[in-house]
Amino acid sequence: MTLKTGNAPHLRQGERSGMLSLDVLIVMIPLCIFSSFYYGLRPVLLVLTGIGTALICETVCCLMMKRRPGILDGTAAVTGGLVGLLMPPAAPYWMPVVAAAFAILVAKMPFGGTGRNLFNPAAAGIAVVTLCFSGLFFLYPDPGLSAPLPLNTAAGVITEASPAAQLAGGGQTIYMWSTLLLGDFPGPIGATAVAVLAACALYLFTRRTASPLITVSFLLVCAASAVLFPRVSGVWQDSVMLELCSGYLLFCGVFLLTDPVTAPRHWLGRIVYGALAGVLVMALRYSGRFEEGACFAVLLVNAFSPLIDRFCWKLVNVRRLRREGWGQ
Amino acid sequence: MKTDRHTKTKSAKSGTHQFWKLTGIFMDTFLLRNIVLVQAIGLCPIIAVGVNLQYGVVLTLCTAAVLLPCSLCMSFFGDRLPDWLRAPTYTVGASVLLIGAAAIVDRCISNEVYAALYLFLPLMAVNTIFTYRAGGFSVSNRPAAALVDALGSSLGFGIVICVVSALRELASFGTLWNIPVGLRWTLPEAALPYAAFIILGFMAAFLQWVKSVAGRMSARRDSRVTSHKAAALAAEADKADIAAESEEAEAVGLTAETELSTEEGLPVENDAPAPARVESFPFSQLSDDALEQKGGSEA
Repeated sequence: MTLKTGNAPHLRQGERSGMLSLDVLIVMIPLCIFSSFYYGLRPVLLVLTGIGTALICETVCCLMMKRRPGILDGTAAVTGGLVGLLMPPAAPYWMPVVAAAFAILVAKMPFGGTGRNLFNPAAAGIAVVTLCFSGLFFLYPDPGLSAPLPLNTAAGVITEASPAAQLAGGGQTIYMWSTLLLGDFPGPIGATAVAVLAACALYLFTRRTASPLITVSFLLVCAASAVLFPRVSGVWQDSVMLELCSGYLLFCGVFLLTDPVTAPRHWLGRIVYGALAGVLVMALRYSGRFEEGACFAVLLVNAFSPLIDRFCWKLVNVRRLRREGWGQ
Repeated sequence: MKTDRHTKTKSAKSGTHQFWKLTGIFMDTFLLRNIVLVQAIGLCPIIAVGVNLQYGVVLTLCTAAVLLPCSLCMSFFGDRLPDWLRAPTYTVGASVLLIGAAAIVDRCISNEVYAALYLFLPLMAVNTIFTYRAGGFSVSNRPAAALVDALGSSLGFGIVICVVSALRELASFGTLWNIPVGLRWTLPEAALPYAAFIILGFMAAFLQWVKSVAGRMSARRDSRVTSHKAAALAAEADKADIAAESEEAEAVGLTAETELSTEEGLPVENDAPAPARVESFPFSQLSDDALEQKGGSEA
């Protein structure tokens, strides 16, 4: 049997990596539109700023490395878009610039560019912004504002504590399920509209751009943790809904963990990867410094991704390896 | 152990050769295979306490003050010790020297710096720099080579920790050597370890780029030297051919070939003499194998 080696994303015949990126970009559009219902044009401008910065950084790096500009495969635009969607709607414009620039210049290009990065660049960009500007990053405006957010500077906007912050601080506000599904609560641009996120997830699963195994195992572990260790008093359904819909946990499960370059390839590896990510996200929520540490969990679990893949492949093929000898 | 005793006897080679060998060893650990950026040894103090230029300078001086005597001693009698005794010897020796260094830092230099370095000053005794340089290189090399290697390692470590500390101090506090520089924005999180790792990664990449550029320039210079030599040899061969032809022509009795030989002689005289090539200058050979033979082995 001849084995072909290559870099991720490993594409079957007829696909191009641009098609994977195009699917994700298509799916970002309804998220931006939904957010603009609540906050006006500012969220869309923030996302476009992130995309623009990522494209410029990737072009500059490709020119420095004397390669053809690789922006046509769309992965830089996806990184910039994801970074922009995780910003608070009232964020200053330099915040997605810093995050996207870090994502491309530090987390992606030094490792070799598309298909060679070890860590999810969007998660790395969000991690550095969370660490350095945590005061600004977790200030979310109230979606019930009558006027849209100002386009130039949103420094004077009234902000509310997001559900994640309330959970972390011991608050007991219970949101109605309709409120949670429609995203009528403070949160990042693309992470509040849970119903739209679920539809996006279904689209990506049917197009086989994202693996459902990762997302489902991730959400199951998070839900189990919410049932076993609830942070709100009341029925377990409230705890599960609140934990899954607050912060950007669902966004992380649909977009960040399913990145084809950094996620494992083996089906058992994907299940283990999603489960481990769920454990880490919930652990960081319960005892971490920030109200939402999902980006750090994604980076941690990315480090273990090749190990998980290799271990799970050996586990599943242990009979064949014993027959042929452990020559791997 | 009598493994490499015979290689430590003084060779009869010239002083210039010895000087260039020692220079090669110094440049190896200082720059080409920098102890931190290429060999990734001694990262811990840089990551942990490389946040202020003063701390960086103090740690460099302590490293040099401990590594130089340790390397010298291990070079003199290290190979007479059994293998299992070498590590405790240089560790205990480094600890004793560090007690003195810590006392000097605390009493004479600055109390605040000593308090800020808290654990990482005594932790230098078990730093991998000593394992690889004092316990590895110095044991099987001459005292002069061991001393030069220790100097290169200390300075290599020092330049990296000073650059990283200066950058982190500027970024996180806006000061340099505790003097405010007047920066408008500071990022206090640059004092966290992740910033040090990122800065070190980019410095290592920059060093690799500088080496590749220097290697390309050196290779171009060598090819020009080679082409000069080839041209000179070709011209001499032509001159010899023409001289042979003119002899034959004289034998026949023609006089026009003498003018031809003088004309052909002009390009040979106008050629610049090929520059002397220093065999042991490190930049002319940048492959790791060549450096191993040059810098790692006994002079």
